[in-house]
Amino acid sequence: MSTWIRKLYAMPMWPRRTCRQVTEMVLRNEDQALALHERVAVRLHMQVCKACPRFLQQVAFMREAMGRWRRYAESDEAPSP
Amino acid sequence: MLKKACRLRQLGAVGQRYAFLTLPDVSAHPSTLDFARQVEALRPQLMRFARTQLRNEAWAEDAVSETLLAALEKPQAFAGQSQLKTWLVGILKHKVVDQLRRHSREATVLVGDDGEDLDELLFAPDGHFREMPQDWGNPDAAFGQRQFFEVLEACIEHLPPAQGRVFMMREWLELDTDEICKELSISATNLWVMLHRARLRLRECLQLRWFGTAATP
Repeated sequence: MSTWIRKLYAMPMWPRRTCRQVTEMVLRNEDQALALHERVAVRLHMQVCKACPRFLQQVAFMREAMGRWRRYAESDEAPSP
Repeated sequence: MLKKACRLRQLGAVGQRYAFLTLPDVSAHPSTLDFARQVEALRPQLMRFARTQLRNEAWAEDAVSETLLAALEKPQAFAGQSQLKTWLVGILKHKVVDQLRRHSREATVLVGDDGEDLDELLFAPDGHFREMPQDWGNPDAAFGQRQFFEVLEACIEHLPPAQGRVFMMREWLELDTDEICKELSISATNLWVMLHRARLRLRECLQLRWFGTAATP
């Protein structure tokens, strides 16, 4: 992560979001596009947080898993992926 | 099933009073008998889908029965389609939405753990994660194993009923949030809360049952 992003995010012009608020947005993003200010807040938060990128990765994992499950459960082929 | 259909049709001839017992005239074409056997063989799989989505045995029976009847009424509609199961699942999805619409009030009643908020367990009062989320690694490693999908299905089935229904409407029926709100007559806020809780719970379940309980620091 570059230092200038750190500095940029440290500026008071950004609304601070907690991990709890960011995970709420990450989950909502699965169903509907976020507003611009939310996307900015999420991106900036991700730069300075170690936990939320992990959470985002888990959510992406679940989305991919549901897609695979749908395809493999519904097809006629023997249910082995 | 077909014998039963014939019996019921004879009953139907008794009078207008029993008209509701008459079933489509599926046995008029001998070739449909073979088709019916193929369809019937897939019934258990259709029931599994219907149960997982509807979380109610009676609604699931209705949805699957309607699917089978629709298929047997119009076997010619299947002509040219390569996969019988895919075709039937497509019909089932419509019948399942009908059931959800019909029972929308009951389907969205919060029972059991539906109202429970996992946020409190996950986050400290200051809004930080209590524990570092674990690195789940490369998804392909899990997707290559049949057991993973068994765990995933078990976790979906363990969602509280209302949460499970809206989650499956989104992920299996692939409806968008506006459509789900319309079918179930619920507000967008109500839906967000349920989907949010369902996803947190699914994540928790996968963490416990597939990735093990140990959180990496």
